[in-house]
Amino acid sequence: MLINLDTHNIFVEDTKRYLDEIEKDLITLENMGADIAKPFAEKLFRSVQVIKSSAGLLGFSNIKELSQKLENVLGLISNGELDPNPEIVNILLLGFDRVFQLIENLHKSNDMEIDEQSVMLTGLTSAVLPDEKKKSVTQIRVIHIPSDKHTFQISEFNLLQVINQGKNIYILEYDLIHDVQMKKITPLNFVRFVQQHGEMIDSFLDIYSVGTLEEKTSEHKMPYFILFASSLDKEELSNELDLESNKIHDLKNELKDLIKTQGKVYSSNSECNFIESNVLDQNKKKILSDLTNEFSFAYDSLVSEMLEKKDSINSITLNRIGMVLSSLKKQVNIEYSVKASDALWKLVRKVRDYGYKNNIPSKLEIESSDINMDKRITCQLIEPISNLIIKMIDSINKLQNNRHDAKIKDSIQIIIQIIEEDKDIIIKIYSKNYSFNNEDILLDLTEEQKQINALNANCSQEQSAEKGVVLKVKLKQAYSILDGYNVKIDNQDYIFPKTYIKEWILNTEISDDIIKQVDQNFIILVQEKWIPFIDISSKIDIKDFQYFLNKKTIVICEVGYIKFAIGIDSSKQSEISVVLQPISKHLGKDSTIIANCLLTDGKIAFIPDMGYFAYQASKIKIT
Amino acid sequence: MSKKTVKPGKDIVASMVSELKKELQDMIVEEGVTELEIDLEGVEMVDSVGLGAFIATHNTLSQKNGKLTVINASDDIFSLFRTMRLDQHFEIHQG
Amino acid sequence: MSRKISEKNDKVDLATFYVSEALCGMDILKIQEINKNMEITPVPNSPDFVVGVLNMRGRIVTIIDVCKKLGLPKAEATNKRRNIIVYSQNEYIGMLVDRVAEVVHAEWNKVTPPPSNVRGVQGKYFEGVYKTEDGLIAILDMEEVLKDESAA
Repeated sequence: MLINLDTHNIFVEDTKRYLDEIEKDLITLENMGADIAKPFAEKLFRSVQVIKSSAGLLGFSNIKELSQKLENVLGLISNGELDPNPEIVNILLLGFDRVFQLIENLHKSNDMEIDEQSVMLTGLTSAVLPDEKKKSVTQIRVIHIPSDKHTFQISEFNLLQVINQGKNIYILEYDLIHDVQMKKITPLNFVRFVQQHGEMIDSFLDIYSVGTLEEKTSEHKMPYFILFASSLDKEELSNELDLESNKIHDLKNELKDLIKTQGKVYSSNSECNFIESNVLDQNKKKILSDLTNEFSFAYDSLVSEMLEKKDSINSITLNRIGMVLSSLKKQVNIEYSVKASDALWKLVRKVRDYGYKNNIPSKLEIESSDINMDKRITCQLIEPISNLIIKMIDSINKLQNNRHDAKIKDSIQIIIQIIEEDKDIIIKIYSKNYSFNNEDILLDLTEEQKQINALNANCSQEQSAEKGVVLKVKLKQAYSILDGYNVKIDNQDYIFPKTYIKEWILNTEISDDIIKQVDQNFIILVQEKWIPFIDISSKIDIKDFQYFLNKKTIVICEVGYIKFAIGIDSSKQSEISVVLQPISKHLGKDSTIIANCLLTDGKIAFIPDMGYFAYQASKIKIT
Repeated sequence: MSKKTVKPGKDIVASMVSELKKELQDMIVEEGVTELEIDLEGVEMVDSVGLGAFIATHNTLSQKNGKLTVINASDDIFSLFRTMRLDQHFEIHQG
Repeated sequence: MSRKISEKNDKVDLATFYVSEALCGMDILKIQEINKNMEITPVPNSPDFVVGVLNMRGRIVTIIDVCKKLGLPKAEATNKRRNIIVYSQNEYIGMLVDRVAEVVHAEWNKVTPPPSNVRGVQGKYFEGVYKTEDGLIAILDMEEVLKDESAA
């Protein structure tokens, strides 16, 4: 199997989807009765198995190891030996959270810490087992390598897990010089290659055979032994690994007592399940969205031009174009449309975690009937809304504590109601615990308001006689959303549309000889071609050599076939999805910005008219 | 007790290992260095023979009750040394 | 102009304010709000009467320098400057003025049509002139002030 960057991307996308489902299912599991829980638990068990196998195949050993531990616990829940109470579900959730972090940092994952979660999970596993099985967790099996220079000491429990999946255990005998160096393979690639065909439980490099600096060993040898688990049989393994049969030692006999005690075999899906990824679909969606935005900008420009010239904008042609644009926008909305209750589900988890951590039993319910929302908006709503709910919970908790007659703490129940009103979507948040006697405290919404405003939405609070303090978030149903990079130039924020950005060159990589001045313009040498600088800022009148050299990063943009360079003051690539607000007609026909938007800190960012700048660039003659 | 740092600055592979080994040997045997630090800044790759050099150095120092430390290892090299359990014999730090 | 005035009912509350040294007024019902938010972000390549844009509780509002639009001499910026927010042609606009004065209770039948030149400004920008004991209030025609001048 050819493993390349795409494979990794697909693995990340797929795993994230699994993790999403797993999180939902875990919380559902926690709230279910024991008998209904079983099929859920089995589904969870199988899902984490798929993640584990894929990770193993690709060499991401930490993800694999942590998944293994999670799988162990889920296996116990699945066959009824462990009861999914809140403490246990919490440990599992934390474990999966860590897997998510490992996935996000895929290429560093093998060096990240997993001890904390591993210990908790192993603790669960051993605590719950009946004595005979508990022994297997702590019982160490000693396995001798041929030549007897070393023994592997592995917990029987781990060996059992592997055996239960129908795998065979071998010792592979390699010589790093003969089998790796002589075949012109690097040790790193060799290890990854081996991991494609099974699991390296442990390994031993015989350092004593290597000798010291003084000894001139005539025969170079570096024996390396791998304790290996694979579903392949000896012959297949010999073929795949290009290793002679006599160097593969089958431990079937040695471990036959463990193999006999093999419990229920959980059917695992195939070794690796690269389901048709929707990575390709994601790309298509983004392209559709970007093109529709561009079309929209061009249409707006055309309409302004016609208004300038006092042309009638009631022409049939313009109307037809307008209708096509509307349909495209609708299509984009459909692509990103998601059921509101699904989209905001993460809030249930956040409320649960907050309540659990602070010992304030809380629960969130979402009532939404069949309303759909735009995924790109809802994912940016999660943070501010969860902060709002937490503030509400804190304030109710305080009130409850202040009541002198409070005997047992009532669980705090928050309701989210999503309704449609005219062209808007209203999200109402209130608490079921409200009673007439409560003094209501109004909440401080400043930070959350800024974040919600950035989505071209509004947030307010009101007091109602029946419900107490009700928070209201009002959103539009249709949006123009732009995916781009947030950059700063001369202290002003801009959003550069992603589709036009080709390259980022850090200032430290530029030398004096690749920037030149030609007449009034500056040009830069990129990949053996001279590209003009375009100044979009207009804040500083005299742009000289030094001005460009002071820019921290040079961004190379491409519109059609025209390339141009823009100097920016940011040094990091900050990706962002913004909700656009149209610009005022008062900005006039010479305006070089095509839209604007609000950032979460309340600042206004501009979207430059890249088409216009490309046109300017095309007029610059470079000999 | 004498400490020294070596910075090969390039890939540790068969073609340069014998020279490196000689240099390390001189340090330990002639100069009496007991605490040796190998700085892997700029080193992207270590091949099997290179691995052997590290191990041989560790073995030599061990005999003299000395210590080997590796610093500034790249992600790949760190991962490799960990997989081969070399971190159980001498200290390895990521760069 | 005079036809417009005579069609209105009698009483009107005028918010008054200074644009440079000129005392101007506007029907208070046309005003959404008055604020002193001066965190205005300038827009590159915009006409000189556009001061910039402003974040008003989540809405991006364009701020117009009324002084420049009317062609009056620029006064020094003080902290008494205010934005008068109006709704015109489907968007919110802030009219930046130098100082806000009191609300004047006026009667339309006492408003006289503007002369062709009001203190150096073209008469077309005004709906009329109202006389009080303290002086003359020039009532702005908001739509005329905000009209796009760049048409050839």
